[in-house]
Amino acid sequence: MTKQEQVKAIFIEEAGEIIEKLNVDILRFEENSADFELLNEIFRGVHTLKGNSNAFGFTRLGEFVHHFEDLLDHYRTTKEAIEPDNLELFVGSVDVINDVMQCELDTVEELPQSYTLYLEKIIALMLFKTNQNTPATTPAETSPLNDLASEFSFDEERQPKEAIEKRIEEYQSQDNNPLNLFYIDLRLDSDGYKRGFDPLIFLHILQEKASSVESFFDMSSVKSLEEFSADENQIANVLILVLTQQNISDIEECFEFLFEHEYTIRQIEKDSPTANKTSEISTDTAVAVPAQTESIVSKKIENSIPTATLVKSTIKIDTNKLDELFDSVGELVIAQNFIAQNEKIRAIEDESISRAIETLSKITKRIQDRVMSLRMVAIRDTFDKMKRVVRDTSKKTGKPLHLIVQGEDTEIDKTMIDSLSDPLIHIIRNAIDHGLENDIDERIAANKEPEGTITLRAYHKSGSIVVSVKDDGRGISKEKVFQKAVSKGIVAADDNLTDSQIFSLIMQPGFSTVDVISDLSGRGVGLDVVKTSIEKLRGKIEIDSKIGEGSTFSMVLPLTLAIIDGMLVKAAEEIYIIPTLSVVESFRPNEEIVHVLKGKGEFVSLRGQHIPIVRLSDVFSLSTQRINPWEGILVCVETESGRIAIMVDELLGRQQVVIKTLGQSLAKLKEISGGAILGNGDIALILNVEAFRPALEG
Amino acid sequence: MEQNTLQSKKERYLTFYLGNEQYGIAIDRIKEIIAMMKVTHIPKTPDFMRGVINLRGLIIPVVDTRLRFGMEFREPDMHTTIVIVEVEKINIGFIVDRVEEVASIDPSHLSEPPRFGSHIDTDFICSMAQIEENVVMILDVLKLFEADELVSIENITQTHTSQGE
Amino acid sequence: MEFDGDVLKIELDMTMDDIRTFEEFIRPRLEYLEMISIDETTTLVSSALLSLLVSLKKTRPELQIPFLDKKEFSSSAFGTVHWIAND
Repeated sequence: MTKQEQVKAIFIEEAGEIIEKLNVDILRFEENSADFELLNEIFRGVHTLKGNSNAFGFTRLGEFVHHFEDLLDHYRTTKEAIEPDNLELFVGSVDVINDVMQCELDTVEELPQSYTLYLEKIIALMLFKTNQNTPATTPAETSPLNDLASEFSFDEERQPKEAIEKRIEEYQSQDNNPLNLFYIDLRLDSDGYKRGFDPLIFLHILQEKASSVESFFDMSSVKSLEEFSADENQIANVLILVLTQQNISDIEECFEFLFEHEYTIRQIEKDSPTANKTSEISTDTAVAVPAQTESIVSKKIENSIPTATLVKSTIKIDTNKLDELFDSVGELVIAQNFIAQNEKIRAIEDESISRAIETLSKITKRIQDRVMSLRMVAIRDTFDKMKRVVRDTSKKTGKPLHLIVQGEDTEIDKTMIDSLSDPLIHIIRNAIDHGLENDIDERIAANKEPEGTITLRAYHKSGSIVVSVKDDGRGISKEKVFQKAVSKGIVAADDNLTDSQIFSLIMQPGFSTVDVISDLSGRGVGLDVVKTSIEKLRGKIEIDSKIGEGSTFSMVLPLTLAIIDGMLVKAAEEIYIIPTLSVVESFRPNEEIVHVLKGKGEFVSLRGQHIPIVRLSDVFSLSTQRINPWEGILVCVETESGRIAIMVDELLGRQQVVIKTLGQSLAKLKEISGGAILGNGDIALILNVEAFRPALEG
Repeated sequence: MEQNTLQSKKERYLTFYLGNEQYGIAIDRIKEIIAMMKVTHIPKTPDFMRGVINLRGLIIPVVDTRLRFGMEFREPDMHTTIVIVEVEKINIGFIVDRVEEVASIDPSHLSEPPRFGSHIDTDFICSMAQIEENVVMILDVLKLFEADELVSIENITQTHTSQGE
Repeated sequence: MEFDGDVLKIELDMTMDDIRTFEEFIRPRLEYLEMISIDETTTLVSSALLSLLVSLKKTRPELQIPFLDKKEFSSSAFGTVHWIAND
C-alpha cells in the first residue's frame, strides 16, 4: 500500500464512521427535531465529510454534502423549526450520502437517481429559504399549513396550498364530522411506472374506500420533450386529501408496496392536540389539575409539536415476525460476543482486525438497540387510561384530588403494557381509597391541602423502568404491619426486617383480611395478585411510606421481557446467572460474621440482620469440594420472604443476556427460570432466586 | 437419504444402535441429526436428562437414551450422535451410540413387540421389524416424549411468556 | 385519435403502450400542431399521459391544450384531480 492509498484508506474508514453516526443521529433527530444540539452534531459530521471528500477527489459526494451542509447551516443558525417534509428531506439526504459513498468506493459511474433528485430539492429549498429570510419572516408565524405549501417548489402558485388549506379548515370546523381526513404525500421514484405504479392507481384504490378524494399533481418537474420519456415518472409529487371512514392503517395498506420514502400519510387532527390533552381531567370539577402539572404537560406538547401533527408512515408487522427478528438479533449478539471474546482472534493483535471487530460490535449494538426499540411503546396510552380510573375513583369515594402525571413518554416493552394496566388500576384505587384520608378535615388537621395528590410517574432507573403511584395520604404504619405479620405467623417477632421488607409484607397473600387494623383497612386486599402479575413480568414492587406523609408504590420492571441484566457466577465449574434486579450486594464475608446455628444452617450477620446462607452447590446437589463461606462469595439477593445470601465460588461479571426458555420438559424446575447463551456458545442457567429461600423453621 | 422420497414417509425409519441393539424412529419425527456437542447439566433432574444444548441459539433438552432405557452409561465417542426429535413444536434431543441408516420398511414386515426379553421397557416400543439379519425395534416417539414431558405435566409452575420459544 | 393537420383529438384512456405510440407520433409533428383536444367522454388510465401533455406544452408553449388549462379533472374513478405546472 502506498502512502497515498493508506491515507485514502483512513479517509474511507473515517467517512464510514461519520456516515454511520449520521445515520444514527438523523433518526434520533427525526424523533425530536427540536434538538438543535443534535442538528449541530449532524452539521459537524457533514462538514468533516465535505472536507474529506473533496480532498480525495470524491467530487460527487463533495458536491452533495456541500449543499446539504448549507441547508443544515441555515437551520442551525436560524433555529427555525424544521417542517416535517423537510425533515424527510434530511433523512433522505443521509440515505443519498450512504449510496453515493458506496458508488464512490466502488467507482461506479452511475449515481442513484435519488442523487439528482435530492440535490435539486436541497438547492431549491435553500433558494427558497434565502429568499424568504430576507425580510421579517419569522418562523414563529409558520402556520401548520405553510409546510404544505413549501412542498411546491414554485412559491407563486398558491392554488394547491389554498385549496388544501381550505379543505382542512373546513374539515376541522366540522366538529361532528365522523369521517377521517388524511393528507398523503406521494412521491414515486422515477421508475414508478416500470414497477407498475401510477399515482392514478392509488387514487383509484383510495376512491373506492373513501367518500371523497382530491389530488394535486405537481407537474412542474416534467421535462420538455427533449428529455421527456413516457416510461419515466417525472411527476414530482402528488398530494392527496382523502375523506373516509377508514382509519390510518387501512389507508397505509394501500401503499404497502411502495418504498417508505415514496409516501407519507398523516391524519389531520380535528382539534389541536393541546386541547385534547387537558380536556379529560381538567373539565371535571372533582378533579382539578394544579397549575404546576399543566405547565409540565404543555411544555411537553410544545416540544413535540413538530412531530405531534405528523403521523409517520408505518407498516404493520406481525409480532411473530418481530419476535423472530428479535431472536435472530439475540443470536447475532451472541455470535458477535463470541468473536469479540475469542482468544485466538485476540491473539492475532492486528490493528485492522481489532478495528473490524470493534465496528462489528458497534453495529451489532446498534441493530440490537433498534430492534429493541421496535418493541417499545410510550406508556402514554396506559397513563391516559389511568386518568379515567383516577377520576372515577375520586368521584366514587368523594375525595377531591389532583393528579400529576410524569414521564408519559417513557417507553416500555409492548408485551408488558397489557399486563401492566390491571396492577396499576389496582394500586391507584388503593391509593385513593385507602391511602388518602377519608375526609378533608383530617387533611386540614394534618396541615395538608384539602385535596389529595396522586402522582403517577414512569421513569428509568439503572436499567429498569419504574412506574410509581404516590399518594400524600396517611401513610402506612410500619409497626402495625409488623405486629400484624407476627400475629399472623408470617414473620417471627425477633426477625430483623428492613422498612421495605416490612412494607412488602402487606402484599403477602392473606395478610389483609377483614380483621385488619382500622387505618390499614383493605390496604392489602388483592395486592398479592398485583404482586404476582408484576413478578410474572420479572419485576418487583417496592413500597415506601412515611406515616402522615403518604406512600409510594413502585413497580420496578425490566426494560424488556426478553433481555435481563444478569450477574454471572460460577459454582462447581458451571456458570449461572443471577438477575441483577434482585441482587442487593455481593461480597466475600469475614470469618467472624458467619455463624452456624444449630439445626438452622449457616447465617451471615450483616448490619444487624442474620441472613441465611444458601449454598448453590447444595441446592443443585453439585459435587464439589466443600469450602467455607469466607472462601467463596456471597451474593445477597432480595426475595419476597426476605434476603438470602447465595454462596457461589466466583463472580464472573455482569452482562445483558437474552432469556430463552428451557422447554416445557424442564419448566418444573422452580429454581431455574431459563437459560442464556453466553459469548462462547455455552449455556448458562438463569436462577430464580425466589425458589432459593430455605423453608422457614419453627 | 433423499432418494427414497417416492416411498411413503410413514415407512421410513432412522435406525441407530444402543449397544448391540438396533432401534428405529419414524423419520418424519426427526428434525435433525447432529454430532455430540457440549451439554450443559441441569441440576435436580433425573440422570437420563443429560442437560441442554445450544442448537443455533435454541436451547434444547437432551436425553441420554441409554440411561433412559436403563442401560449403562457410556462415554461419548466419535460415533455418538444426538437425534433431534420434534413433536408439536417441542424439540428434544436423544443421545444414541451410533446412527446406522434410513431404512424403508414395508408395514407388512412389522410385528408386535415382545412382552419381555429386551433391555428396555417395552412400553416405548411400538413394533419390531426384520431388516436383513437384524431385528429393529421401532420406538414410539410420542410415548418417549410423553415420558419426558411428564415433569411438566405433573406441575407447571413456570409461567411462559408469549415470546418463549 | 383523429388528426386533421392542425388539431389532434385524442382519447384520455391511453395505456402505457398507447402513450408510447402517441409520443412517437407526435414528436416529429409537434411543430405543425396547433391544438390538442381531448375527448372528455373518456377517462385517464395513466398519469404518464398527463405528463406527456405537460411536456408538450412546456416544449411548445403556443400549443393549445384546453384540457390542460382547466387544471382540473373529475372522474368517478379518481375523484378530483388538480394539476399545477409552472408557466
